[in-house]
Amino acid sequence: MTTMSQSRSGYVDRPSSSSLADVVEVILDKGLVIDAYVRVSLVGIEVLTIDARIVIASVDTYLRFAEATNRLDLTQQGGKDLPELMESMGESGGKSKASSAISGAKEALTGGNDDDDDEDESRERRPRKKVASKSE
Amino acid sequence: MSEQQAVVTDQYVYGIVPAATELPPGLTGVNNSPVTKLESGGYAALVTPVDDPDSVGSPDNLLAHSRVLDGLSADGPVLPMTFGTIVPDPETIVNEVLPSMHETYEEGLNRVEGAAQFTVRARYDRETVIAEMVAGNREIAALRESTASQSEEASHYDRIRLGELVVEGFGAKAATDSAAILDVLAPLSRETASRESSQADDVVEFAALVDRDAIPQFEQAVERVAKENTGRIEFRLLGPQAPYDFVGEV
Repeated sequence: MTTMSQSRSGYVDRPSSSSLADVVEVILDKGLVIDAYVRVSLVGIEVLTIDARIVIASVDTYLRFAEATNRLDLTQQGGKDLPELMESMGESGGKSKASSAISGAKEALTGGNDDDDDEDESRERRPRKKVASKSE
Repeated sequence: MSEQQAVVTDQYVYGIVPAATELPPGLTGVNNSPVTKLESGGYAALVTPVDDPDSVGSPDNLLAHSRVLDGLSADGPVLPMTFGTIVPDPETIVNEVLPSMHETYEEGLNRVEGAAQFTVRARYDRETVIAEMVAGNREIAALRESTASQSEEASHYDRIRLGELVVEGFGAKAATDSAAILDVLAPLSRETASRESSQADDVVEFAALVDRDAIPQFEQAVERVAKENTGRIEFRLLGPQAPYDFVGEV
């Protein structure tokens, strides 16, 4: 029962077959682990992990979002006047989110950009090699 | 000259299934090699012998691993093993691993029996939501104006501050919007497991374990939520897939 889902059917993006990026995101670091005493080896996969909090909370990220904000053409967003909108909306503010190290792993195994990052961004990463290898 | 004949005994282990699980004929997995079962006491390990463990960690094999598990999970409960698990010989699996983990496997398979996993990712449309923020936050609006008219050097710190406010803005909105999304989809799921966001403009990413007969309802609800948020939030749905996020730690 492999559901033949159409991509972009309706309002939801449903890839009909798994891309490597999707698989890496879902699978990495998940699943059962067998006790080491039975001499299991966990295949060494070199995965570039990043401390993604650095990415999200980094100066580089802030500058990119500032640029996105400056590039924004507000006339295309239509609808209310600016003053009207400001009346009806609250202030923003809040904590920054923690994040996973998956993007780095994804990039390492796919060797390229996430295809749904439509803007070209040079993410600054501080790569840290993680070799999962456990054997006795 | 003593050249030892290489006997392939290393077993790549995909996961655990009830022993009675039928494998589709001709099922292949890592290294395009056949997948078989090693059974003991009502459970079976899904395995493929591999002669070069160090070369197992490839993108093709990662895809094969997930394809095998996702395919089998459509017809019955499967407990995925972490990608890249190799046990040195079949006897160890049959005589040690399976018997000693009996209880864990029983609980695990019961937990996922009759259900499939879906992975939902919701992400903001940046332009729409940044426009919201410019309209709704005086400081953002002011910084946007002032940095636009200054040189990059002169406005460097203001632009950092602007970006920081925007990132925080996404976070605040996501707190509200993610709760609203989960309010709709969690009740349609047996369980949900949230994941950490990978991008500042993510709303939420989570795995849902959905009863098979509730799958159409779940899918329709995702469509409905996506439609309600058209232009503001984009949804991506993966699945049905094996229950990677609902396999407890061993």
